[in-house]
Amino acid sequence: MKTEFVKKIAEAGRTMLAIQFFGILLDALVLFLAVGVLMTILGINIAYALIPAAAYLVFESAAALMKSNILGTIEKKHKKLDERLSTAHDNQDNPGNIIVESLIKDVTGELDVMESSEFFESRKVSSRVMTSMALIFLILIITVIDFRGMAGGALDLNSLMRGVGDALRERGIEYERLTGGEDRWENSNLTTEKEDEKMGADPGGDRPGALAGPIPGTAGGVGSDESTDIFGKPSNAAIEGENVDLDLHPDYGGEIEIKDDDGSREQMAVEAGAERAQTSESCDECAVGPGNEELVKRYFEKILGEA
Amino acid sequence: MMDTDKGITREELKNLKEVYASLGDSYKKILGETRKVVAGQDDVLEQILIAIYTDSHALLEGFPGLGKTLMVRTIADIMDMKFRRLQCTPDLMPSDVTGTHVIEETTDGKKCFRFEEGPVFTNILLADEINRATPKAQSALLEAMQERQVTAGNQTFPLDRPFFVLATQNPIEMEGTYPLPEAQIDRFLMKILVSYPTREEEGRIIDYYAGENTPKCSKVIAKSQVVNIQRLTRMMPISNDVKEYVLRIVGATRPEESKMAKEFLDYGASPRASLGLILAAKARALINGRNYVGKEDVERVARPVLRHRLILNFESERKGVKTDDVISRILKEA
Repeated sequence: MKTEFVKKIAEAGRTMLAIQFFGILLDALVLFLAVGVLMTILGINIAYALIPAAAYLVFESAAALMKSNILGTIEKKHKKLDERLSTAHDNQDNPGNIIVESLIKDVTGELDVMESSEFFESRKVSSRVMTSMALIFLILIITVIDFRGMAGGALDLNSLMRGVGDALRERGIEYERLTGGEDRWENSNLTTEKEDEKMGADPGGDRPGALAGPIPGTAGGVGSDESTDIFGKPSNAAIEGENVDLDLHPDYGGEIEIKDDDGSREQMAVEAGAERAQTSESCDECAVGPGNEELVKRYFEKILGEA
Repeated sequence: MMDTDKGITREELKNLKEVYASLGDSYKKILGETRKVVAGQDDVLEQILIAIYTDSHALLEGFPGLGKTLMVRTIADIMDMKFRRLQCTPDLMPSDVTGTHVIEETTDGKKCFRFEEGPVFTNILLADEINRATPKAQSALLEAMQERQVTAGNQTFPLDRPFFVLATQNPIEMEGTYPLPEAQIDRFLMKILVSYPTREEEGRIIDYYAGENTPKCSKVIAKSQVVNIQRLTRMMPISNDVKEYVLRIVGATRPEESKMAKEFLDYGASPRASLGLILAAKARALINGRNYVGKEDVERVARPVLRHRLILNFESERKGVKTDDVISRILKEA
């Protein structure tokens, strides 16, 4: 009976410690996210927030192990075992004592019906989870919206769109503003730094960018309708007034289907790993697939013509 | 045949198990039988039973006519134990307590000494107004209580088991009395205070004793069972927490260890008090049918066990502070 009793206590102790560690892990997560929010606002890499969280995890785990009072915690949570458990534990090495045997038997019976959920502080856990979710959401908002640090930034749409464009570009989505109008590049200031780097030589005029113009483009966007929606469907674009259906696969190739106003279609395959032209010098270095050469060539000719 | 390391035979172990199994019921029966004869005083009954089950002795203090003698006699009848009453007076001699040798003539005409047992040769002795006996007589009684034997001449006579002394003190009429010294009073486990009955209880007393028939009680448990219960009391397990709690309480009564004790007391409780508190708590837990001792048991027996062991300083006596008040404060802070 004593062995059974000791086993039950050990099992209860393990469960209790596991739940405690889970709580510490949640606290560490909240700490990581809270520090992460601060770092995101200050523009510091969020990975550094792992340091205080890890330190907290280690110290709290060690403290929990050292301060672990299994019997006290069980007695606190399970009122029926109050004082009985510690009495049975302190007197378990007292064989032949009929009262102690009776006590151990009663306590073992109570431990059998005890459930792990009695150690679970559901309110604490749910508050931590909600806090984590709120902090994650806050980080996302801060990442997307440029608050310009602590200077009380205004919402800068240009930067917003640049940011979106960068994000999309990284995923191989060409997001250019294409319009059918002559002046589609005029007043176009929606360029990205990456584009600037990739273009190489200074352009001779307004340079189109991935976000050039309204998207999907005024005067010659999708169909002939002008859309003031600057975002639109990423797979719709217009090149020289011709609708282009794009299947966009950043990592591997796809197809470009050109649909003319008269309904005729021309399909071109985009090779895997196709990248935008790095320079205007050599097609070999362009990483533009052979199927797209003509398209790109016409595109630039047009630009230069207009310039 | 010895079965365990504790020297208990199988037969004894079997008896212990039987007694333990029936313990909860036996207390209810004792209470029920006592209530047929004594109205109220359930607390006093519990404390007397605690003193009996711990194989100790108790002081009973209360005004005359509150049923102290009746209570003790009733318990003796219920537990099938011999009862003797010793009225202490200033002319009481030690031999009147312990017994003495008397000269006796045998059938063949020879004279010899025979030891005539005194009133201590009983199971329950009620020493009424012990503070009226001389210190010499008090010492004889206290020695018998401590040693559980009587030595007369070169012979030693062991006392019967169980042996329980209930000494009473009259709180009024203290003139011409010999109050027990603190060293002697410390030997009593508890000082039980008997208070006036409530109006309803007094009404029942009138019903019991002003009518035609006097109530009677019957035997509930055998004397041998009482001995087993005393053994079970000592077997009752106690946790280290509760033990520490008792030590904190007793430590807090000593002026050397506690600021509060220094403020109110001249002398605190001795280690005998710690022992008494633990034993009394064990007995209380057993009486209430539990198999463990809780802090509540300690708190309930703290006042009867400690009140006669603390000596108030002059300032406290001047202000009318009672030892029970000091004990209450200690319990609150422990």
